[in-house]
Amino acid sequence: MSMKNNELKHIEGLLRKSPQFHLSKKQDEKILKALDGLHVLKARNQVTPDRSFHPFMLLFKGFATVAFVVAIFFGTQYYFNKVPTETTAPAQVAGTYSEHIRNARVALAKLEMAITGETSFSFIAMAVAENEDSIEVDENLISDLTEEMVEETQAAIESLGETTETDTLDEALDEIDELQTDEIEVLVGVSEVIEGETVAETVAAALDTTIEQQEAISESIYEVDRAIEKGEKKTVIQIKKVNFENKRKLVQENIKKAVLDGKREKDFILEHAAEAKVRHLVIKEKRLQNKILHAGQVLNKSTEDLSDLVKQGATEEEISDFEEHMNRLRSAVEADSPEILGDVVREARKELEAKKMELKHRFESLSEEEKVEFKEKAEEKKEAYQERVEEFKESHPEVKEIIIEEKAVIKEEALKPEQAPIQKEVPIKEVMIEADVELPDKDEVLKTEEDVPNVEGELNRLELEKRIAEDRSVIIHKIIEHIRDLPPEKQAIIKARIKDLPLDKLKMVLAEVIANYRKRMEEE
Amino acid sequence: MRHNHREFLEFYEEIKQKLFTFLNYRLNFNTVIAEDLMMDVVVKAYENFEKYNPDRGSFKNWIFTIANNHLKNHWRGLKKEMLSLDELEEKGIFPSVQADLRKTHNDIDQAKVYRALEGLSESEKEIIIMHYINDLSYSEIAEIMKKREGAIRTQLSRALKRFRKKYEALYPNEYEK
Repeated sequence: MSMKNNELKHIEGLLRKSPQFHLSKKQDEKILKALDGLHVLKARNQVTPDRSFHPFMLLFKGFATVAFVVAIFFGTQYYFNKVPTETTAPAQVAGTYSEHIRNARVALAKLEMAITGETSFSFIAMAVAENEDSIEVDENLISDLTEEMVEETQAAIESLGETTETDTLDEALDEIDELQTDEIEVLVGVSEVIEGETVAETVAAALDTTIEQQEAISESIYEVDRAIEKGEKKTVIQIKKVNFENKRKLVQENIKKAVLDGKREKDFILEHAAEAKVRHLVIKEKRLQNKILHAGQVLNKSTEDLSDLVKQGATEEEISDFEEHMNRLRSAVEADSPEILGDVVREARKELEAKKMELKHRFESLSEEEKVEFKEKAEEKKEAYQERVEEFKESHPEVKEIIIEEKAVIKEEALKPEQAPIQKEVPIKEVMIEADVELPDKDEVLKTEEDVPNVEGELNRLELEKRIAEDRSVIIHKIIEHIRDLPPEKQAIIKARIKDLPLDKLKMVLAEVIANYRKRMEEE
Repeated sequence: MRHNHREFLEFYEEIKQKLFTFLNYRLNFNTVIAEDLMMDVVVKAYENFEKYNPDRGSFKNWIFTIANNHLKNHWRGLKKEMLSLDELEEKGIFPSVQADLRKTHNDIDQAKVYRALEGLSESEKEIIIMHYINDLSYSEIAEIMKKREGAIRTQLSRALKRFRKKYEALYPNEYEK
């Protein structure tokens, strides 16, 4: 049983009541001590600024040292180039140092690129000039400092990279996932609507109120009638009666309007959800194709590796392990085959078309006035939906391109002629005619299951069955939801009959069950 | 240059409980790490206090933004060494549900909430904790997460739905009559 609003409120309440945690006194004191320490340090720095404590200053000092060494190296290299000598040691030393210096320079250049603004080279140069006199030539120190600088610089660059690009990218990816979850949720929302919960509840609430009002009015009218019978203040009472009648009419109109609004709401959601479903599936299909393409490449590579293994004299066990790995990979690829998804997409498209036709018929049956009103409301809702999408895109410009790309995929798909093979339509018996339940025989169903387009081929049957089983349980649940108002024995028959139906049949039964359910509701 | 030690301490006193609660929840009640990170965040805020501009938002939002970024860096660096509730129970850091059964009904419910929270993604947890536990408004969360208020509303409602599903999956008989 799904949780309703009051349960949701209950959970919200629990979340709000979650306990607050107190920082331990010891840790609090530690923090305060640290803050005091920092305060003292800052105050001291403000009086006698000592930039040597600043991490950048350390870096600059290092740079100054390195710059000094550069001068020595260039000088040394120049000397050794000019004065040929058989001694190679100084050149080697110079080579090692040059490497350090090059690394340091590259790192600094990167740092300079990464940190814009104040920390430009001119600033560094200034720092070098300031510290030049105090630099002592100590080879080990120079080497250590250089390495330290490289490490620090790289760490700085990495952390910069992490806190900017990666964050944004992570967020972007999260948002894409969420966007897709949105689409799925629309579908979930639709199933709820189909179950008649959302709309029916709204309408029912409106009806309850208006019926109460109506009862109150009827009672008043009855009293008025009695008063008239008694001949009390006849004229005044008659006027009151007319007023009551008018009110009653108004209430009835309100009820009609509420019902109509509820239906419109449902229509809108149905239409959009069906579209969202197709869109979602198309994107999923495209992604799977890419994934399979990639996996195919991996498989090819693995085949080459395998032959290499054999050439290299691998043991049987090793080869069998490798083959097992390949088989797993192959199964994974096949289980996600876009061919299956392709069928689902086509089916979803068919559903979409059917829903659109249904909506069209319903729309045509409206009066001119109602048509105008319907269009206006639909426009409003579309705008609201668009607004939400735009808002998302605006707040995440980096995602925009990805969305555009996905849209292109959708468009490309939409332009493609329908490639679906004409599926064998198995006529399903009238599942439920009013209370008479008539479903296909179990044997017949099993027979037709074999006729369903063959999706086995090279596919991993177990994986496929697992997915189908999940879909089946969802649909069976929905069917059961829609027959709850039938007598228990009828429900039992239906439940028994649908138990072994294949997925496509189940969907057809669901459509019938929903149609009959609606019909019953309307008649009621 | 803006630097007022006393002012910072006043701000710190105001937010310390909420900030610690936030960190503790986000770190699955690993109090030791939460305390460490609390120290880091407060020191970082103190060192950058001159950059804080009250015209651009409250101190609370500012320090929560720092905390949020710091958490991300922390996880990135330590490959998210988070303990599950089961592990926490084993270590005795978090009371077990069994133990809770002996307590009041409210405590039991609370333990269930924790469990359901555990099953959510970090971003979902983040937003639920901020709104329901830290009592931050949509606009405050939007400011901290640098997003639009509308986006936060949507995200929160989605997170709550997921939370509801997790809760329902963990305790299917909870509301069945």
